[in-house]
Amino acid sequence: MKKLIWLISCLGCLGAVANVQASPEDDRRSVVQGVQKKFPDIKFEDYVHGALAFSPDAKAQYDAVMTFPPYDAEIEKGAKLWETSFKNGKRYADCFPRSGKNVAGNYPMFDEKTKKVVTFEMALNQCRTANGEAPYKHSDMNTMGLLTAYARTLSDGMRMNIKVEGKDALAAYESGKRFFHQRRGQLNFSCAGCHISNVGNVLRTEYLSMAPGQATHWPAFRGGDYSLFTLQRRYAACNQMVRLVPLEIGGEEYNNLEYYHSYLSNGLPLQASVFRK
Amino acid sequence: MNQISPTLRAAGACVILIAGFLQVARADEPKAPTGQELAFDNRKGNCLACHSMPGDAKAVTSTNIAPPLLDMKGRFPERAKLYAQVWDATKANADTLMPPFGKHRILSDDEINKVVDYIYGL
Amino acid sequence: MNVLRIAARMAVGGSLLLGGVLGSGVHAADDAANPSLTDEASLALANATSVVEKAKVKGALWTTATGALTQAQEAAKKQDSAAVIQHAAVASEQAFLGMAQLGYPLMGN
Repeated sequence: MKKLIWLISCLGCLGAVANVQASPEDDRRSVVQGVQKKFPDIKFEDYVHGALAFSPDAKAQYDAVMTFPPYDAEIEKGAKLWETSFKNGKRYADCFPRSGKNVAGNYPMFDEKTKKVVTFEMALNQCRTANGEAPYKHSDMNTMGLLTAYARTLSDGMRMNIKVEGKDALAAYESGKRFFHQRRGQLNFSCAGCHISNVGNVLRTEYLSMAPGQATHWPAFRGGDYSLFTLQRRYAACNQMVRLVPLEIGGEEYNNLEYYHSYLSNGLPLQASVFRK
Repeated sequence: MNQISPTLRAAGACVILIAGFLQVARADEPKAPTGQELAFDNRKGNCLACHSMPGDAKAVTSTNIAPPLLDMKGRFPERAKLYAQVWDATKANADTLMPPFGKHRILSDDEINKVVDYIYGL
Repeated sequence: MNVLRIAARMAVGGSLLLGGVLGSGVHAADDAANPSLTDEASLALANATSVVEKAKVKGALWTTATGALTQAQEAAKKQDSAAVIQHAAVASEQAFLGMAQLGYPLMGN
Protein backbone atom coordinates (compact mmCIF):
# COMPACT_ATOMS: atom_id res chain seq x y z
CA MET A 1 0.00 0.00 0.00
CA LYS A 2 2.77 2.38 0.95
CA LYS A 3 4.38 1.61 -2.36
CA LEU A 4 1.16 2.41 -4.19
CA ILE A 5 0.78 5.77 -2.45
CA TRP A 6 4.40 6.52 -3.29
CA LEU A 7 3.80 5.60 -6.91
CA ILE A 8 0.66 7.73 -7.16
CA SER A 9 2.36 10.75 -5.60
CA CYS A 10 5.23 10.31 -8.05
CA LEU A 11 2.83 10.24 -10.96
CA GLY A 12 1.25 13.37 -9.55
CA CYS A 13 4.63 15.08 -9.54
CA LEU A 14 5.23 14.06 -13.13
CA GLY A 15 1.86 15.46 -14.09
CA ALA A 16 2.68 18.74 -12.41
CA VAL A 17 6.02 18.93 -14.23
CA ALA A 18 4.32 18.22 -17.56
CA ASN A 19 1.77 20.95 -16.89
CA VAL A 20 4.32 23.65 -16.22
CA GLN A 21 6.50 22.59 -19.15
CA ALA A 22 6.82 25.52 -21.52
CA SER A 23 5.60 25.16 -25.09
CA PRO A 24 8.13 25.62 -27.90
CA GLU A 25 6.58 29.01 -28.63
CA ASP A 26 7.01 30.04 -24.97
CA ASP A 27 10.64 28.92 -25.15
CA ARG A 28 11.31 30.90 -28.31
CA ARG A 29 9.59 34.02 -27.04
CA SER A 30 11.46 33.98 -23.76
CA VAL A 31 14.85 33.57 -25.51
CA VAL A 32 14.06 36.39 -27.98
CA GLN A 33 12.84 38.63 -25.17
CA GLY A 34 16.06 37.98 -23.28
CA VAL A 35 18.01 39.41 -26.21
CA GLN A 36 15.58 42.30 -26.71
CA LYS A 37 15.80 43.29 -23.07
CA LYS A 38 19.58 43.35 -23.10
CA PHE A 39 19.94 44.92 -26.57
CA PRO A 40 16.80 46.96 -27.27
CA ASP A 41 18.53 48.80 -30.14
CA ILE A 42 19.28 45.70 -32.20
CA LYS A 43 16.47 44.93 -34.63
CA PHE A 44 14.99 41.42 -34.56
CA GLU A 45 15.81 40.97 -38.27
CA ASP A 46 19.48 41.67 -37.56
CA TYR A 47 19.75 38.63 -35.27
CA VAL A 48 20.61 36.68 -38.42
CA HIS A 49 23.98 38.46 -38.40
CA GLY A 50 24.86 36.93 -35.05
CA ALA A 51 27.95 38.39 -33.40
CA LEU A 52 28.23 40.95 -36.24
CA ALA A 53 25.11 42.62 -34.88
CA PHE A 54 27.14 43.86 -31.89
CA SER A 55 30.04 45.27 -33.87
CA PRO A 56 29.59 47.77 -36.73
CA ASP A 57 33.27 47.32 -37.67
CA ALA A 58 32.96 43.57 -38.05
CA LYS A 59 29.68 44.03 -39.94
CA ALA A 60 31.38 46.45 -42.39
CA GLN A 61 34.13 43.89 -42.96
CA TYR A 62 31.49 41.25 -43.56
CA ASP A 63 29.63 43.45 -46.03
CA ALA A 64 32.88 44.00 -47.94
CA VAL A 65 33.50 40.24 -48.21
CA MET A 66 29.89 39.63 -49.25
CA THR A 67 30.05 42.14 -52.15
CA PHE A 68 32.24 39.72 -54.11
CA PRO A 69 32.38 36.52 -52.10
CA PRO A 70 35.77 34.90 -52.79
CA TYR A 71 34.12 31.49 -52.52
CA ASP A 72 31.60 32.03 -55.37
CA ALA A 73 33.25 29.27 -57.40
CA GLU A 74 32.38 26.81 -54.62
CA ILE A 75 28.71 27.75 -54.76
CA GLU A 76 28.92 27.27 -58.54
CA LYS A 77 30.15 23.71 -57.96
CA GLY A 78 27.11 23.19 -55.74
CA ALA A 79 24.84 24.56 -58.49
CA LYS A 80 26.32 22.04 -60.91
CA LEU A 81 25.57 19.22 -58.46
CA TRP A 82 22.01 20.51 -58.05
CA GLU A 83 21.40 20.85 -61.80
CA THR A 84 22.92 17.54 -62.89
CA SER A 85 20.27 14.91 -63.65
CA PHE A 86 20.30 11.54 -61.92
CA LYS A 87 20.82 8.43 -64.06
CA ASN A 88 17.04 8.06 -64.35
CA GLY A 89 16.72 11.56 -65.77
CA LYS A 90 15.08 13.07 -62.65
CA ARG A 91 16.59 16.03 -60.80
CA TYR A 92 16.68 17.38 -57.25
CA ALA A 93 14.17 20.04 -58.27
CA ASP A 94 11.65 17.25 -58.96
CA CYS A 95 11.76 16.13 -55.30
CA PHE A 96 10.67 19.45 -53.77
CA PRO A 97 7.71 21.78 -54.07
CA ARG A 98 8.36 24.93 -56.15
CA SER A 99 11.34 23.10 -57.68
CA GLY A 100 13.19 23.56 -54.41
CA LYS A 101 12.56 27.30 -54.01
CA ASN A 102 11.62 28.51 -50.50
CA VAL A 103 11.65 25.09 -48.89
CA ALA A 104 14.71 25.04 -46.59
CA GLY A 105 12.96 27.13 -43.91
CA ASN A 106 10.56 24.22 -43.32
CA TYR A 107 13.46 22.00 -42.24
CA PRO A 108 14.14 20.27 -39.96
CA MET A 109 10.61 18.87 -39.98
CA PHE A 110 9.22 15.98 -37.98
CA ASP A 111 8.20 12.88 -39.91
CA GLU A 112 5.26 11.16 -38.19
CA LYS A 113 5.85 7.93 -40.14
CA THR A 114 9.43 7.34 -39.01
CA LYS A 115 8.97 9.36 -35.80
CA LYS A 116 12.22 11.12 -36.62
CA VAL A 117 13.43 14.61 -37.35
CA VAL A 118 14.22 15.11 -41.05
CA THR A 119 16.83 17.74 -41.87
CA PHE A 120 17.14 19.39 -45.28
CA GLU A 121 20.29 17.32 -45.85
CA MET A 122 18.28 14.15 -45.15
CA ALA A 123 15.61 15.28 -47.63
CA LEU A 124 18.30 15.77 -50.28
CA ASN A 125 19.60 12.27 -49.59
CA GLN A 126 16.06 10.85 -49.71
CA CYS A 127 15.75 12.43 -53.13
CA ARG A 128 18.95 10.70 -54.20
CA THR A 129 18.02 7.25 -52.90
CA ALA A 130 14.44 7.51 -54.24
CA ASN A 131 16.02 8.01 -57.65
CA GLY A 132 18.48 5.17 -57.39
CA GLU A 133 21.53 7.15 -56.32
CA ALA A 134 23.75 6.43 -53.33
CA PRO A 135 23.27 8.86 -50.42
CA TYR A 136 25.98 11.40 -49.63
CA LYS A 137 27.73 11.38 -46.27
CA HIS A 138 26.40 14.27 -44.19
CA SER A 139 29.90 15.06 -43.00
CA ASP A 140 31.32 15.27 -46.53
CA MET A 141 31.69 18.94 -47.39
CA ASN A 142 32.79 18.17 -50.97
CA THR A 143 29.44 16.60 -51.81
CA MET A 144 26.67 17.28 -49.30
CA GLY A 145 28.28 20.54 -48.15
CA LEU A 146 28.64 21.95 -51.66
CA LEU A 147 25.17 20.76 -52.69
CA THR A 148 23.57 22.64 -49.77
CA ALA A 149 25.77 25.68 -50.45
CA TYR A 150 23.68 26.14 -53.57
CA ALA A 151 20.39 24.39 -52.74
CA ARG A 152 19.84 26.47 -49.61
CA THR A 153 20.37 29.75 -51.49
CA LEU A 154 17.11 28.93 -53.34
CA SER A 155 15.41 29.67 -50.01
CA ASP A 156 17.17 32.98 -49.33
CA GLY A 157 14.69 35.40 -47.83
CA MET A 158 12.26 32.69 -46.71
CA ARG A 159 11.33 32.95 -43.03
CA MET A 160 12.28 30.07 -40.78
CA ASN A 161 9.08 28.11 -40.24
CA ILE A 162 9.69 25.10 -37.99
CA LYS A 163 6.65 23.24 -36.67
CA VAL A 164 6.48 21.11 -33.54
CA GLU A 165 3.15 19.30 -33.58
CA GLY A 166 2.19 16.20 -31.64
CA LYS A 167 3.73 14.29 -28.78
CA ASP A 168 6.55 12.63 -30.71
CA ALA A 169 7.65 15.86 -32.37
CA LEU A 170 7.62 17.52 -28.96
CA ALA A 171 9.79 14.73 -27.53
CA ALA A 172 12.36 15.26 -30.31
CA TYR A 173 12.25 19.01 -29.69
CA GLU A 174 12.71 18.48 -25.94
CA SER A 175 15.67 16.21 -26.56
CA GLY A 176 17.29 18.91 -28.70
CA LYS A 177 16.51 21.51 -26.05
CA ARG A 178 18.14 19.34 -23.43
CA PHE A 179 21.27 19.04 -25.56
CA PHE A 180 21.40 22.82 -25.96
CA HIS A 181 21.28 23.35 -22.19
CA GLN A 182 23.39 20.37 -21.12
CA ARG A 183 26.97 20.96 -20.03
CA ARG A 184 29.40 18.95 -22.13
CA GLY A 185 33.10 18.36 -22.52
CA GLN A 186 35.89 18.72 -19.97
CA LEU A 187 35.48 22.51 -20.08
CA ASN A 188 31.86 22.10 -18.93
CA PHE A 189 30.16 24.53 -21.31
CA SER A 190 26.70 24.32 -22.83
CA CYS A 191 25.32 26.08 -25.91
CA ALA A 192 22.88 27.97 -23.68
CA GLY A 193 25.56 29.06 -21.20
CA CYS A 194 27.12 31.26 -23.87
CA HIS A 195 24.38 31.98 -26.42
CA ILE A 196 21.45 32.53 -24.04
CA SER A 197 22.89 33.49 -20.64
CA ASN A 198 25.88 35.49 -21.93
CA VAL A 199 24.58 36.76 -25.25
CA GLY A 200 26.42 39.89 -26.44
CA ASN A 201 29.19 39.49 -23.87
CA VAL A 202 32.77 39.23 -25.04
CA LEU A 203 34.73 36.00 -24.71
CA ARG A 204 38.34 37.25 -24.73
CA THR A 205 37.93 39.12 -28.04
CA GLU A 206 34.76 37.65 -29.60
CA TYR A 207 31.13 38.65 -29.10
CA LEU A 208 28.81 35.78 -28.20
CA SER A 209 25.98 35.63 -30.75
CA MET A 210 22.30 35.29 -29.88
CA ALA A 211 20.68 31.88 -30.33
CA PRO A 212 17.76 33.19 -32.44
CA GLY A 213 19.10 33.67 -35.97
CA GLN A 214 21.98 31.22 -35.59
CA ALA A 215 20.28 28.54 -37.70
CA THR A 216 19.42 30.83 -40.62
CA HIS A 217 22.68 31.24 -42.53
CA TRP A 218 24.14 27.81 -43.27
CA PRO A 219 26.25 26.56 -44.76
CA ALA A 220 28.83 29.24 -44.06
CA PHE A 221 32.32 29.79 -45.46
CA ARG A 222 34.51 30.33 -42.46
CA GLY A 223 37.86 31.84 -41.61
CA GLY A 224 40.81 32.94 -43.72
CA ASP A 225 40.54 29.90 -45.99
CA TYR A 226 36.74 30.05 -46.35
CA SER A 227 36.23 26.46 -45.18
CA LEU A 228 32.74 25.20 -45.83
CA PHE A 229 30.74 24.45 -42.67
CA THR A 230 27.24 23.04 -42.53
CA LEU A 231 25.38 23.80 -39.31
CA GLN A 232 26.07 20.35 -37.93
CA ARG A 233 29.75 20.56 -38.79
CA ARG A 234 29.70 23.73 -36.72
CA TYR A 235 28.14 21.79 -33.83
CA ALA A 236 30.96 19.25 -34.10
CA ALA A 237 33.61 22.00 -34.08
CA CYS A 238 32.00 23.63 -31.04
CA ASN A 239 31.88 20.32 -29.17
CA GLN A 240 35.54 19.72 -30.02
CA MET A 241 36.47 23.13 -28.59
CA VAL A 242 34.89 22.34 -25.23
CA ARG A 243 36.75 19.01 -25.34
CA LEU A 244 33.87 16.71 -26.17
CA VAL A 245 34.38 14.07 -28.86
CA PRO A 246 31.91 15.30 -31.52
CA LEU A 247 28.79 13.26 -32.13
CA GLU A 248 27.87 11.95 -35.55
CA ILE A 249 27.10 14.63 -38.16
CA GLY A 250 23.66 13.63 -39.47
CA GLY A 251 23.02 11.48 -36.37
CA GLU A 252 19.85 11.67 -34.29
CA GLU A 253 21.28 13.77 -31.43
CA TYR A 254 22.49 16.55 -33.72
CA ASN A 255 19.26 16.32 -35.77
CA ASN A 256 17.17 16.88 -32.64
CA LEU A 257 19.49 19.69 -31.59
CA GLU A 258 19.05 21.31 -35.01
CA TYR A 259 15.28 20.96 -34.65
CA TYR A 260 15.19 22.90 -31.35
CA HIS A 261 17.90 25.31 -32.46
CA SER A 262 16.09 26.10 -35.75
CA TYR A 263 12.79 26.61 -33.93
CA LEU A 264 14.47 29.44 -31.99
CA SER A 265 15.05 31.17 -35.36
CA ASN A 266 11.40 31.02 -36.43
CA GLY A 267 10.28 34.19 -38.21
CA LEU A 268 13.80 35.19 -39.26
CA PRO A 269 14.87 35.29 -42.93
CA LEU A 270 17.25 32.69 -44.31
CA GLN A 271 20.43 33.54 -46.18
CA ALA A 272 22.70 30.67 -47.12
CA SER A 273 26.41 30.58 -47.91
CA VAL A 274 27.49 33.65 -46.02
CA PHE A 275 30.94 34.47 -44.68
CA ARG A 276 31.75 33.93 -41.02
CA LYS A 277 34.97 34.44 -39.08
CA MET B 1 103.17 15.78 -26.41
CA ASN B 2 102.70 14.15 -29.76
CA GLN B 3 102.08 10.82 -28.10
CA ILE B 4 99.44 11.94 -25.67
CA SER B 5 97.52 14.21 -27.93
CA PRO B 6 95.26 11.49 -29.48
CA THR B 7 94.16 10.44 -25.97
CA LEU B 8 93.50 14.02 -25.04
CA ARG B 9 91.58 14.55 -28.22
CA ALA B 10 89.44 11.51 -27.52
CA ALA B 11 88.83 12.68 -23.98
CA GLY B 12 87.90 16.10 -25.23
CA ALA B 13 85.45 14.58 -27.68
CA CYS B 14 83.90 12.58 -24.85
CA VAL B 15 83.53 15.67 -22.70
CA ILE B 16 81.78 17.46 -25.55
CA LEU B 17 79.62 14.42 -26.11
CA ILE B 18 78.63 14.24 -22.45
CA ALA B 19 77.98 17.96 -22.34
CA GLY B 20 75.77 17.46 -25.39
CA PHE B 21 73.79 14.76 -23.64
CA LEU B 22 73.30 16.94 -20.60
CA GLN B 23 72.10 19.78 -22.77
CA VAL B 24 69.64 17.55 -24.59
CA ALA B 25 68.34 16.29 -21.26
CA ARG B 26 67.84 19.83 -20.07
CA ALA B 27 66.08 20.88 -23.28
CA ASP B 28 63.77 17.85 -23.13
CA GLU B 29 62.68 18.66 -19.63
CA PRO B 30 60.06 21.42 -20.17
CA LYS B 31 60.51 24.51 -18.09
CA ALA B 32 57.69 24.52 -15.53
CA PRO B 33 55.28 27.33 -16.43
CA THR B 34 54.68 30.14 -13.96
CA GLY B 35 51.28 30.93 -12.49
CA GLN B 36 50.94 33.87 -14.85
CA GLU B 37 51.78 31.70 -17.86
CA LEU B 38 49.21 29.10 -16.78
CA ALA B 39 46.61 31.82 -16.27
CA PHE B 40 47.17 33.29 -19.75
CA ASP B 41 47.60 30.02 -21.70
CA ASN B 42 44.37 29.28 -23.58
CA ARG B 43 45.06 25.53 -23.28
CA LYS B 44 45.45 25.80 -19.52
CA GLY B 45 43.80 28.38 -17.23
CA ASN B 46 42.64 30.66 -20.06
CA CYS B 47 41.49 33.13 -17.38
CA LEU B 48 41.56 36.00 -19.89
CA ALA B 49 38.71 34.46 -21.87
CA CYS B 50 36.34 35.64 -19.13
CA HIS B 51 38.28 37.83 -16.67
CA SER B 52 40.16 41.06 -17.18
CA MET B 53 43.13 41.75 -14.93
CA PRO B 54 43.47 45.51 -14.52
CA GLY B 55 46.49 44.99 -12.27
CA ASP B 56 48.63 43.20 -14.88
CA ALA B 57 49.59 45.26 -17.94
CA LYS B 58 50.43 42.06 -19.83
CA ALA B 59 46.89 40.74 -19.52
CA VAL B 60 45.31 41.65 -22.87
CA THR B 61 41.59 40.91 -23.19
CA SER B 62 38.31 42.62 -24.07
CA THR B 63 36.15 40.28 -22.01
CA ASN B 64 33.26 41.34 -19.80
CA ILE B 65 31.86 37.93 -18.89
CA ALA B 66 33.08 37.47 -15.32
CA PRO B 67 34.25 39.88 -12.58
CA PRO B 68 37.67 41.48 -13.15
CA LEU B 69 40.41 39.87 -11.07
CA LEU B 70 41.45 42.62 -8.71
CA ASP B 71 41.70 43.10 -4.95
CA MET B 72 41.69 39.33 -4.67
CA LYS B 73 43.00 39.37 -1.09
CA GLY B 74 40.17 41.70 -0.13
CA ARG B 75 37.55 39.57 -1.85
CA PHE B 76 38.98 36.25 -0.66
CA PRO B 77 40.57 36.82 2.78
CA GLU B 78 40.87 33.04 2.99
CA ARG B 79 43.11 31.74 0.25
CA ALA B 80 41.42 28.32 0.56
CA LYS B 81 38.12 29.83 -0.62
CA LEU B 82 39.78 31.15 -3.76
CA TYR B 83 41.38 27.77 -4.32
CA ALA B 84 37.95 26.10 -3.94
CA GLN B 85 36.46 28.55 -6.42
CA VAL B 86 39.04 27.63 -9.06
CA TRP B 87 38.68 23.92 -8.21
CA ASP B 88 34.91 23.88 -8.78
CA ALA B 89 33.06 27.17 -9.21
CA THR B 90 29.72 25.42 -9.76
CA LYS B 91 29.57 24.70 -6.02
CA ALA B 92 29.06 28.36 -5.21
CA ASN B 93 26.99 29.11 -8.35
CA ALA B 94 25.32 26.23 -10.20
CA ASP B 95 24.85 28.29 -13.38
CA THR B 96 28.42 29.62 -13.63
CA LEU B 97 30.28 29.43 -16.93
CA MET B 98 33.60 28.87 -15.15
CA PRO B 99 35.11 25.43 -15.85
CA PRO B 100 35.75 23.31 -12.73
CA PHE B 101 39.53 23.24 -13.14
CA GLY B 102 40.22 20.80 -10.31
CA LYS B 103 37.14 18.59 -10.40
CA HIS B 104 37.57 17.96 -14.15
CA ARG B 105 41.39 17.78 -13.89
CA ILE B 106 41.83 20.60 -16.38
CA LEU B 107 44.72 21.72 -14.18
CA SER B 108 46.67 19.66 -11.65
CA ASP B 109 46.57 20.65 -7.98
CA ASP B 110 50.07 22.02 -8.36
CA GLU B 111 49.02 24.13 -11.34
CA ILE B 112 45.94 25.44 -9.53
CA ASN B 113 48.14 26.46 -6.60
CA LYS B 114 50.41 28.41 -8.95
CA VAL B 115 47.45 30.13 -10.62
CA VAL B 116 45.92 30.96 -7.23
CA ASP B 117 49.24 32.37 -5.99
CA TYR B 118 49.41 34.53 -9.10
CA ILE B 119 45.85 35.88 -9.01
CA TYR B 120 46.03 36.31 -5.24
CA GLY B 121 48.64 38.97 -5.90
CA LEU B 122 46.31 40.90 -8.24
CA MET C 1 100.51 14.29 -15.88
CA ASN C 2 97.61 14.74 -13.51
CA VAL C 3 95.64 16.38 -16.29
CA LEU C 4 96.35 13.39 -18.46
CA ARG C 5 95.05 10.98 -15.82
CA ILE C 6 91.85 12.93 -15.38
CA ALA C 7 91.38 13.08 -19.12
CA ALA C 8 91.88 9.35 -19.37
CA ARG C 9 89.39 8.76 -16.59
CA MET C 10 86.90 10.96 -18.36
CA ALA C 11 87.42 9.03 -21.55
CA VAL C 12 86.71 5.78 -19.73
CA GLY C 13 83.69 7.37 -18.01
CA GLY C 14 82.46 8.67 -21.34
CA SER C 15 82.68 5.32 -23.02
CA LEU C 16 80.94 3.70 -20.05
CA LEU C 17 78.19 6.26 -20.39
CA LEU C 18 77.96 5.60 -24.13
CA GLY C 19 77.96 1.88 -23.46
CA GLY C 20 75.15 2.38 -20.98
CA VAL C 21 73.08 4.36 -23.47
CA LEU C 22 73.61 1.88 -26.28
CA GLY C 23 73.06 -1.03 -23.91
CA SER C 24 69.69 0.27 -22.76
CA GLY C 25 68.69 0.70 -26.40
CA VAL C 26 69.49 -2.92 -27.13
CA HIS C 27 67.63 -3.93 -23.99
CA ALA C 28 64.49 -2.03 -25.06
CA ALA C 29 64.61 -3.77 -28.42
CA ASP C 30 64.74 -7.12 -26.62
CA ASP C 31 61.66 -6.19 -24.60
CA ALA C 32 59.71 -5.17 -27.71
CA ALA C 33 60.21 -8.63 -29.12
CA ASN C 34 58.56 -10.04 -26.00
CA PRO C 35 55.01 -8.72 -25.97
CA SER C 36 53.99 -8.86 -22.37
CA LEU C 37 52.47 -6.31 -20.03
CA THR C 38 51.96 -6.90 -16.34
CA ASP C 39 48.50 -8.25 -15.48
CA GLU C 40 47.73 -5.01 -13.73
CA ALA C 41 48.57 -2.98 -16.85
CA SER C 42 46.55 -5.25 -19.16
CA LEU C 43 43.55 -5.00 -16.86
CA ALA C 44 43.85 -1.21 -16.58
CA LEU C 45 44.00 -0.90 -20.36
CA ALA C 46 41.00 -3.19 -20.88
CA ASN C 47 38.99 -1.25 -18.27
CA ALA C 48 39.85 2.12 -19.78
CA THR C 49 38.90 0.87 -23.26
CA SER C 50 35.50 -0.29 -22.08
CA VAL C 51 34.72 2.84 -20.02
CA VAL C 52 35.71 5.08 -22.95
CA GLU C 53 33.41 3.06 -25.23
CA LYS C 54 30.53 3.46 -22.75
CA ALA C 55 31.02 7.23 -22.59
CA LYS C 56 31.13 7.38 -26.38
CA VAL C 57 27.79 5.58 -26.71
CA LYS C 58 26.27 8.15 -24.33
CA GLY C 59 27.67 11.05 -26.36
CA ALA C 60 29.60 12.08 -23.27
CA LEU C 61 33.16 11.21 -24.25
CA TRP C 62 35.74 13.89 -23.55
CA THR C 63 38.62 14.37 -25.96
CA THR C 64 40.91 14.17 -22.93
CA ALA C 65 39.71 10.61 -22.29
CA THR C 66 40.43 9.49 -25.86
CA GLY C 67 43.77 11.30 -25.75
CA ALA C 68 44.82 9.45 -22.59
CA LEU C 69 43.59 6.11 -23.98
CA THR C 70 45.70 6.63 -27.10
CA GLN C 71 48.73 7.32 -24.89
CA ALA C 72 48.01 4.14 -22.93
CA GLN C 73 47.81 2.14 -26.17
CA GLU C 74 51.10 3.66 -27.35
CA ALA C 75 52.72 2.74 -24.04
CA ALA C 76 51.37 -0.81 -24.40
CA LYS C 77 53.11 -1.10 -27.78
CA LYS C 78 56.35 -0.15 -26.02
CA GLN C 79 55.65 -2.68 -23.22
CA ASP C 80 55.82 0.13 -20.68
CA SER C 81 53.44 -1.21 -18.03
CA ALA C 82 53.91 1.70 -15.63
CA ALA C 83 53.00 4.21 -18.33
CA VAL C 84 50.04 2.09 -19.45
CA ILE C 85 48.66 2.10 -15.91
CA GLN C 86 49.18 5.84 -15.54
CA HIS C 87 47.49 6.82 -18.84
CA ALA C 88 44.71 4.23 -18.52
CA ALA C 89 43.81 5.66 -15.09
CA VAL C 90 43.48 9.15 -16.59
CA ALA C 91 41.40 7.81 -19.50
CA SER C 92 39.02 5.97 -17.16
CA GLU C 93 38.64 8.93 -14.82
CA GLN C 94 38.00 11.39 -17.65
CA ALA C 95 35.46 9.03 -19.23
CA PHE C 96 33.64 8.58 -15.90
CA LEU C 97 33.59 12.35 -15.35
CA GLY C 98 32.09 12.80 -18.82
CA MET C 99 29.28 10.37 -18.05
CA ALA C 100 28.66 11.92 -14.61
CA GLN C 101 28.36 15.30 -16.34
CA LEU C 102 25.11 14.16 -17.99
CA GLY C 103 23.60 14.37 -14.51
CA TYR C 104 24.65 18.00 -13.93
CA PRO C 105 21.81 20.55 -13.78
CA LEU C 106 20.86 22.11 -17.13
CA MET C 107 22.11 25.64 -17.80
CA GLY C 108 20.25 28.81 -18.68
CA ASN C 109 16.80 27.51 -17.82
